[in-house]
Parts: sequence; structure tokens; C-alpha cells
Amino acid sequence: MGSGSSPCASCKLLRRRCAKDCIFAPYFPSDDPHKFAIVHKVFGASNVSKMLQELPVHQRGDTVSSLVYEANARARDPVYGCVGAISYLQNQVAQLQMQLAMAQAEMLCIQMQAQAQEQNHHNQSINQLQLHQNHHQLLNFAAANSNINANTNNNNVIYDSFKKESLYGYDM
Amino acid sequence: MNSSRCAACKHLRRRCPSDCIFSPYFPSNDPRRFAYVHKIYGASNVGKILHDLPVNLRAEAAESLFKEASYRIKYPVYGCVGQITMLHQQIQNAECQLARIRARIA
Repeated sequence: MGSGSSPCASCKLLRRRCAKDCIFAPYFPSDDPHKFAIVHKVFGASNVSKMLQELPVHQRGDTVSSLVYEANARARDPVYGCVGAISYLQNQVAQLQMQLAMAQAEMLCIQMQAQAQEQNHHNQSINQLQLHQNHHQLLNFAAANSNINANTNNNNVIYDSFKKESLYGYDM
Repeated sequence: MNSSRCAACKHLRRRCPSDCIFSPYFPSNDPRRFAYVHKIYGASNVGKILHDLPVNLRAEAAESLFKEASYRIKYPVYGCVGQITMLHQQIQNAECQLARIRARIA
């Protein structure tokens, strides 16, 4: 609220009496004249007043803050203002998203390699076990058939035995 | 003198002089463009901003003023500052995520 003894920064700049219900007074105290000066320069007091009047009281503080931010950005960069900052930040987001995608792909690669290695170790262990079992069976078979007549067709017998054995549960 | 007025002079209901500062950037076929900047900044302020810039930068300035005015009309409380805040948040989230993944890779 404006007071008769101390006009708000807006009314000081506009050189007018600061009314009790001055719309600017709560947001532009007299100890910070630059704040209203920059907003007035970019937007104009009349436009700021209209904007604030169209909003509920509880939103006016944030509105003034964002207007001050925009006005300062425009004063720093008269060509692009805040839009320049938005473009810059959008570019940063795009770059980060690309880096993120690459990092995620790299992690996926590492995970797949680790899984493939694990599978290889597992397969090697099974192969070794199979070789051991095959060798053991061959020895047993050879021992069991050592008295069979050499005229019999050993190859077919052996092949048939392996087929019957069905080491892995399927026909070889 | 222009045979047809620019959007600014039409809106302001005045004669459009041959050296009108608005006419190159606010053509008559897009009245919304000037209406937006006028609502937020006022014709006088827009004219001053453009006048204070070299001619080769005025088109970019007019475009950014239109974009900011559009944001402000769409989001009366935060304008384009809301967009900036959201982008900062996105950057922070992406950086955190990236740091986590890189820590796992290392």
C-alpha cells in the first residue's frame, strides 16, 4: 500500500501522488528505483498496470518478478532479450540429450558384452563336461565290447549305441 | 508512400509513411503480430527499441519481441520466464542422469 509520506518507486518516477490503493506500491518499493525504471522502460507503466489489474492479487508478485527479469534481459540484449536465453538453453538440452543417448548406448553395449561373456563361459563349461562324458562312455563301450567278434559292423553298432544313448535328450 | 498501410499503422489508425519503422517487420497480412507486441510493450516502446538498433538487427528484434509477447499473452504470470525455468530444470535432470550413467560405466 502507498503512504502519503513516501511514494512508491513507480509514483516517484511518474511524478504523481501515490494513492493508498496504488497498484504498483506493493511490488515497487521506493528503496529500489531501478526495478520500476527498467520495467517502465521496456513495457511501459500503463501496460504493466493493465497486466496486474487483470490478475488476482496473489499472482501479482510473481508477475512483477518475471516482468523485471524479462526487462533486464531485454536491456542486456536489445535484439533477443529472453528469447536468446531460451534458444541457448534449448541447445544445451539437445546436447545433453544426445550425450545421454550415447552414454545409455555405451552402457547397453557393456551389459551385452558381459552377458555374452557369461554365456560363453557357461557354454565352455558344458562342452568340457560333454567331452569328458563322451570320453568316459567311449572307454566304457570299448571295454564292454572288447570281446565282440571283429567281423561285426562295429561302426554301425557304435553309431546306433550313440543314437540310443541320446546324451542330450535328442537324436544325434 | 506505401499504397497499403502496415499492420501497425492500421492498428493505430494512422497514415503509414514511406519510412515507417514498423512496416518492414509488421506486414499488413499478419495483424496478430503487431497486436501482440502492442498489447505487451506498446507501440511507442517497440518503436524506440527498433529505432535504437542498427537496421540489420531490427528484423530479429521484432521477431523476438513477438515471441516474448506471445509467451506473455499465453502465460500472463510467468511469460517466457516460465519456459526458462523449465529448461533449467530439464538441464539439471539430464546432467544428474548423465552423471549416474557415467558412474555406472566407469
